Formats: sequence, structure tokens, C-alpha cells
Amino acid sequence: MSRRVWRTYVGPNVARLVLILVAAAVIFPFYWILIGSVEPNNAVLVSPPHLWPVAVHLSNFVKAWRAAPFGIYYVNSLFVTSAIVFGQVITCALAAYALTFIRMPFKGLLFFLVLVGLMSPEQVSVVPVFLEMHDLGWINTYQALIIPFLGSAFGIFLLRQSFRSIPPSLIEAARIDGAPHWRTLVGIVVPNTRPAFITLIVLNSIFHYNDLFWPLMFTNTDNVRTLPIGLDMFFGSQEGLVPWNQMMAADVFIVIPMFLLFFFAQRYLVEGVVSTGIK
Amino acid sequence: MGSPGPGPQTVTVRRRRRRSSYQTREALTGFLFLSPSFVFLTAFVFIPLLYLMYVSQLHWNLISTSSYVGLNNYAHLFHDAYFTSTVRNTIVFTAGVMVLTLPTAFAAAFLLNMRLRERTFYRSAFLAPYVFPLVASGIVWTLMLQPQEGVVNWFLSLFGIAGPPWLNSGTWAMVAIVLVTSWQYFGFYTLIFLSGLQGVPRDVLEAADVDGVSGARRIWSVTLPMMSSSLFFATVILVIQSFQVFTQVFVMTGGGPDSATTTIVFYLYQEAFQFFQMGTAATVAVLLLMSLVVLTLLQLLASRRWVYYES
Amino acid sequence: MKTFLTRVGVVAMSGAMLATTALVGSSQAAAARKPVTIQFWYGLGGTLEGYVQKMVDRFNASHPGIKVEALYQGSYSGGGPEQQKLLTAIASGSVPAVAQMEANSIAPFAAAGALLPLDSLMKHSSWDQAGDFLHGMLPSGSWKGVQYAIPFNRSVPVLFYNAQMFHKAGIGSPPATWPELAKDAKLLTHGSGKNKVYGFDVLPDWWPWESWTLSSGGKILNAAKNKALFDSAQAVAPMVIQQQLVKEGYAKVYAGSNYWTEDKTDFATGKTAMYPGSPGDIAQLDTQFTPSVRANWRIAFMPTMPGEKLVVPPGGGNAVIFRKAPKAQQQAAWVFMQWFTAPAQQVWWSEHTGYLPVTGAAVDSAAYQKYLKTHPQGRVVIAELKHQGVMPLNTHYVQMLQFVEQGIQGVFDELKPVQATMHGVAQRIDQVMSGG
Repeated sequence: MSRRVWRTYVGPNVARLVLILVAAAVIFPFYWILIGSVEPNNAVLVSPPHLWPVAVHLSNFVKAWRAAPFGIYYVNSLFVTSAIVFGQVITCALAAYALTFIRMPFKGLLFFLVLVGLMSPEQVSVVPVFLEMHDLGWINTYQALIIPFLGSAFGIFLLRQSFRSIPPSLIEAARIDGAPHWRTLVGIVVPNTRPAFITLIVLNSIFHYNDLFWPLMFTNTDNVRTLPIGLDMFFGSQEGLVPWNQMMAADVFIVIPMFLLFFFAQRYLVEGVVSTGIK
Repeated sequence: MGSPGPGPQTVTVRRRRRRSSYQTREALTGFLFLSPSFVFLTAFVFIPLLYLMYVSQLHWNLISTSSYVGLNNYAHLFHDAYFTSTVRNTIVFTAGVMVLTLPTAFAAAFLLNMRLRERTFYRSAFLAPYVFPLVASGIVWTLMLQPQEGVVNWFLSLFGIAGPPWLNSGTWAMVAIVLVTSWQYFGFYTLIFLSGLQGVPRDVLEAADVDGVSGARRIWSVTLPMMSSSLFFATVILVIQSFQVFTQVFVMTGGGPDSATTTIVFYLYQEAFQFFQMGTAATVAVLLLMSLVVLTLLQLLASRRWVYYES
Repeated sequence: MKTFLTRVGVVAMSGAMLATTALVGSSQAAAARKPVTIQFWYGLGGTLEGYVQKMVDRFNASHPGIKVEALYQGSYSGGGPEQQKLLTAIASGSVPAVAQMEANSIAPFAAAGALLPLDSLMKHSSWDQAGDFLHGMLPSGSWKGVQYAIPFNRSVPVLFYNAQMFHKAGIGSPPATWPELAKDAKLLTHGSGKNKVYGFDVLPDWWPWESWTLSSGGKILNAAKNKALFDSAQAVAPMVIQQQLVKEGYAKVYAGSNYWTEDKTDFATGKTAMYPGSPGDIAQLDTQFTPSVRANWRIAFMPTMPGEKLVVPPGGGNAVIFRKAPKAQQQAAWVFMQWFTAPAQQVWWSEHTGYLPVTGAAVDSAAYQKYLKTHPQGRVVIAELKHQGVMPLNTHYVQMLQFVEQGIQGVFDELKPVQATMHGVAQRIDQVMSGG
């Protein structure tokens, strides 16, 4: 068999086969959730599993939706996530710009501090931040969910990687023409690194939209709560029945906004990661 | 004494002055640009960290009066076999996730880079778990890994394999958590490697071909070095992400069975909120952060030896 | 004023008690201007959450002067999210007025002075005086002789068994001791593979463990409550027996966080003949019963070691009021707590959730007696209450239970040697209790 035949016909089809098998394995859990979400509860956990629902109970979705005030949670989740990410785009773009293009002292130290921020999980800072939020009178408010995240070490890190791919000469040319830094940022840097911004928006939206720990600690009432708390309510006690089918239905309607965002943004993601200077 | 005008020396001084005032302005703009981020990072990351350093020297349950114990919490932790085991678990977990995720993600990226027509489909499929809430996937996998009724063991039984007890056994519970984490992150790292691969110039690969270097050898000696910076990025991020593992443990095993899957952040959480030992929890937090900083610096140093940056 | 008092139904029978009248009177005076709004934090999710909300709706409808906001805060189990939230809330000072608290968790909160002492309020209450509560209902809410909590949703561990399976295996009555249980489990186990029916499902949890230890003549802690004694050969005997059953294939054990749900499902679907659980399980069992199990499930006392006295731990949750809450809110919270423990509410709550009524008046009420006629298994649970013991609570008790549960998982999931494992747990908690 010649190498040409291999390259053109055999190789791609072997790759295809492998990719299909891996993709099937990776998305099987989602398929299983979809089946479970329409089945009666006692049909969810059976072996062998149902590859087709034994019965279709769309009422699971209605019941799941009513199990918690999901309407309010939806609005809150979307609002909080957008507010955080909107703020992060601005703060991170400014910081990454300064760390990349502006000549200033202590840059190494400041970047090191950003890296330290990147390494600190939210379980670490929750107690001190809680005490701060209390002093500010912000417990159980949107502020407590949004403001602590307006600075994002990860965002600065990501954008800085991407900004570094812009030739410094381009910036200098603009500067010599008298453009102030903010105009260079908006006019040259942002348009040239759009995929990196989209990547930042997608990754951090996913993270904050799905976060359970923080909203659970900082909110007490439904008017400011977010979707993952609704998910948590299906498991409040060992002594009650866990409605697996409703939980799966809730999974389905909770994940939709992020799937949509991801779907529309995904062709930029590869570019976004390419442009973060990883190549 | 009449002077015709500014002599050459004066010009230099003035220029220097202008330059230095320019530099000052530049620096000020720089700090101005950094200030929004640093206001928030200082208030909600750095001050809390300093506060934790202070709390790590206390014996305190968060609601009673505290007592100052100096470095006792540190000394205590170093002699605590339980803490050592959580460190060991975290390292095993991190190593497991890396061994499982990085090669598979690289292989998947390599296949995706063959530019099949339907590659968008595979890419979306691989990334789907990354979009899913960890809380939900932890619960769903717990159900799928049930030894008797679970889907996974049913699948294994089709091949005549008696499935392991998964979450019932210390060893297998760790394997399960590693598996679920890799499932969640696999697509993200595939994406990073894919972008790395796309950055490898075709002509370099073709030149290698002409030289008779192909197949596995070409991957090993040409492709991998050319994309070493994305390997580096992936390793750094994955190490940090794995060291911070919490939700999977919280949802799937609660640190058990026994303490087989108690990782550092989960232990920190237990000490603070289940055992009422704020001081110990803060100490764990400080140690975790210090080790991550050291680890990342080591990786940075090592990277100078093997990472190739296209310039 | 009078109609309000009648509706509140709290002070009606204790008009002579000046203090209470003043108390409710002042909250009434405040209410005339504006209803007092109080937050009630609870940790019952899923199906039970609906019942909590229904109770609170009924309270609000009948009490125009008070508005209770019932807020779910994640599970109330020891170390669960509600407990974390309470810790941070107390630390910062933004507390709710009233909260549900797991029955074993009172000590660290009481010791920190975060809770309102209830003794003087109880003295003037119509059905919340110390003598009104069923045996063993109060100790888990008291710390150093002061009562800080009253029972809210309470249960005790019991043994569920399938009478039909027992009959088929030729066993006349449920086991009273662990050796009997082991013998029965062997007779009850049959089938293989997917059709295997186990004699017994282990519940690898600290709650039944309290009963295992205390009903074998063992002790959890010494009298000074600063040294663990639960690793004695006597105390671990029930664990040894259960582990042996698992090893020999006569008992089933689940790991992960769903073990309890799994046990319930096994029993309801006839895959096991016995399991230890809570009367609160009945709500779930009821949705899963196969017809034959529905007709044949029974409840028995928890087993003991031969010749030893039965001791069962309190389970479920109590309700507490916070010291830092404003006075008017504390008063409103007390009105709410008393309303909740009044017989009519207790009967409704118990019938719907399976949790136990907490006062003698509720059990003796005609409504509950009528309920027992159709639900005879409830009698067994009420009878077992006589054996409800007092746990040796200290500020490290919740932490100890977490350690113990890890030990239990080692013993049943990984089949580690019982006494050595529990000895390790004991040493660990000894170190903590000695301030190390």
C-alpha cells in the first residue's frame, strides 16, 4: 500500500473511527441524562440501562421547574454571570495591556501577584471575604456575588498571553502618531485579539454560571439566588426521596444557556487559544 | 557672560528631563490601567490571604474567642499523618489526571488536526463536558458508577469484565474521581493542543518528511518540540486546577471511603466548616498556596530547558 | 387582642404567666404597627422541603403579626452547608432569628454563646415545658444544663424488615440481637447475580453507629467526655458481626454519598430482607414499594448485643433561636416554635413526613391515635423512644462523628480490620480533644 493511499483514504477513516468512538463515550452521559429526564424515577437506575425511554413523562420538567423558583434563579444567574464577565473584560483588558505594552517599574512583581491570585481557590478566601461583605452590608445581595470577582487573575493571564502575539512595533507606530494608550487598546489591541476575548468570556461565564459554593455561602433568600442552588435542593436530606429524573430534567434546562453560548462561540475558541501565545 | 543660546549640555539635560517626565507619565498610565484589577484583587484575594496568614497562628473556631498559638498549627500539621495523607492523595490525583488527560488530549488534537470535514462535531462533543456544572456531573457519575445498577459496569460486563466496586473502594474511588475530572477537562486540553498543532508550520513538517522523518518519529522529534509552549501552558494550568480539586470530591465521595479521596482543599474545607478549626484550615490554605507558587516557579525554571518559543 | 391570642394559640392556657403575656403582648404591640418578619433557616431539601413550606404558610396565614420567611440553606446534616452558613453568619453577626440544627451539633454553637437560652420561655409555655416532651427529646438540645433547642424534626433509628421473607425462611420474629440478625441474614439470603436477595443492608453511617456502640454495653466517650472509648472489643462487636456478613456475602453495603437512598431502594424493591433506617424513610419507601413489600414491611427495634440494654440516638433536627437576633424577632421566633410543637401541627407534620411527634400531648391526641390505627408500625417507633439515649456531646462531637464515619467506611467499603481501624479513629479524636 502506497503512502499516498494511506494518507488519503485509510488514515482519515481510521482517525474518523477513533474520533467517533471517543465522542460517543464522551457524550454518552448526556444522552443518559436526557433519557433519564423523561423517565419515571424508578426507571432511571436500572441495569442494563435504557437506551430508549420506557415512557416519556414530560411532566418531570414541569415538576423540576417548580421544585425551586427556577424562573428567578435563571434571571439571577444570567444577570450575575453577565455582570461579572462584563466587568472582567474591562479590568483584565486594561491590566493585561499595561503588563504587556506599558513600560513601568515593578511589572515582574505585579505579574507575580497576578499568578498568586490565579492559584488561590475560592474555598481559601471565603471566610475573610464573608467578613468583609458583612462589614459592607452586602451579605445576600448581588454585590456579594459580583464584586469579589471583578478582578480576574485568570483573565489577566489569558489576555496577556494573547496580547504578546501583537508585534510591539504596531503599538509603537500608533503611539508615535500620538494615540493615547486607551485608544491603542480599543483601536488596535482589541480588534486583533477578539478570539482571546471571546475565549475569556466563554470560559469565565461557564465557571461563574456553574459555581455553587460561592452563591450558597453568600445568599440566604431566593431573590438573589442562582441556578446551581436550585440543583442542590434535590439533595437536601438523606431522609427524603431523591427524584433523580427531575434532577436530570433540571440539569437539562440549566445547561442550555451555556451550551448556546458555547455553540455560537466555539469556532473562535480554537483561534482564541491559538492567539494566547501558546503556539 | 553672553551666551548665544542653550549649549549642547543643556539640550541633553532637557531631553533627559523630557524623557523622564515621559517615563513617569507612562508609569502612571500603567498603574492607572492596573488599578481596577488590583483594587479588586487586593480587596478579595490579597487581603484575605494576609488575613489567613494571621488566622493560621490562631486556635479559633470562628465563633468563640481565639487564642494565639504562633506556629503551632504548622508544627502540628507537619506531624499529622492525616494531613500528609491528604497531600499524598492530591499528588496522586494530580498525577493521575495528567497521565490520563494530556496524552489522550494530544492524540485527539492530532486526529482533529487531520482536518476532517466533520471536525466541528467532534470538537463540540469533546468540549461539552467542560460546559456542564461540576456539581451535576459529579452526581450523574456517582449514579453511573454504581457497582450493580451503574451504566459503566454494565458496559464493562458486555466485554466479560467484572466491573470494580468504584466508589466503594479507596483505590477505585480515586480512579473514579480522576476519570470524571479527565472527562470534564479532556476537551479543553484538546483545544489547547489543537491550537498548538495548528501553530506548527507545514513547511517544517514537510521538510521533515523529505528528510525521511515520518510517523511517530516525526511527532516525537518535530511536532512535540514545536508545540512545547502549549504543552507547558497545559501542564501549568492542569497542575493548578488539579491541586484545587474540590467539587468532585465534595459531591462524589465526601473524601471517602475512609479518607482515600480527601484532597488538600477538601481537607481545608472540612477543618474550617465541619471540624470548627479555622486556624488549621488557614494553615492548610497558606501551605497550599506556598507550594503552588513554588511548583509553578519550578515549572517556569524547567521550561527554560525544554520550551521552544517561536519568535 | 383576644382574637390574636386565641389565634396564636400559645398563651391561651397560661394567662396567669405574666412574663409570657408581656412577651407576646409586646410582640403584639409591635405587630399592630407592622408585622415582625423573621428568617427561619432550614436544611431539608427535596420532598420534605415542600412540607416545611406548607407548615410555614399555614403559620403565616394564622399569624398576621408575624411573617416567617422559611429559607432553605443546603442540608442541615453535621458539617453540611447550613452549618457552614450558620458559622459564618454568627461570626459576622448577620443571623436569622431561628434555625433548624442537626441534633448532635448544638455544643460548639452553645459554647460560643450564639444561642438564646430557652429555659425561662419554656417554663411559661403551654406545651413546651420540659415535662411535655417525649422521653429523650430534650437532651440533644441542651448544653451544660441549659436548654438551647427544642425538637423540630426528630427520629430514631429502627430496623425495617420484610415479614414475608422472614416467614418463607421459617423465622418467626425479627432479630433482637446482632448474633440473631447474623443468623437470620444467612437464612434470608438467596439467589445470585442480579436476582440475589440479601439478608441485610448495612447502613455505613455514624447515626446507627451510635446505637451499635451504646447497645453493646460500649461507651462512646469517658465520663469526662475527653477520651474516646468506642474502640473497645465490646463496643465494636456489632461492627465485627456486620463486616463478617458483608465478607460472606450475606449483607450488602453501598459507598458514595447515596448509600442511604440505595438501602431504601433495595428494601422497597425486595432486594434485601432488612436494613436499619429512619421512620423518615417511609416517605421514600412508599413511592418505591413493590406490592408484596408494601403488604409485608415491618419495623422492629434496633438490635443489641445479647444481654445488653437498647440505646438509640436522637436523630433529625432541633430548632434554635439566635442570641444576636433583635428582641422582637426572638419573641416572634418563640411564637413560631411553640406553634410548630403544638399537637395539631405535630400530628400533621408527622403524618406527612414520617418524623416523630415530639410531645406526649401530640401522641395522645385523638388524631394521632387514629393515624396509628392505619399505620401500626408507628407504634413500634413510639415504643422505641423509651430507649432514646443521651449522647456525650462536647464541642468536638460533630468532628468525631465525621472521623467515625470515615472509619466506618474503611471497615465496610474496604473491609479493614474493625478494632484497629476504630482504634485509629479514637486516637485521632483523642488528640483533638486534648487540644492538640
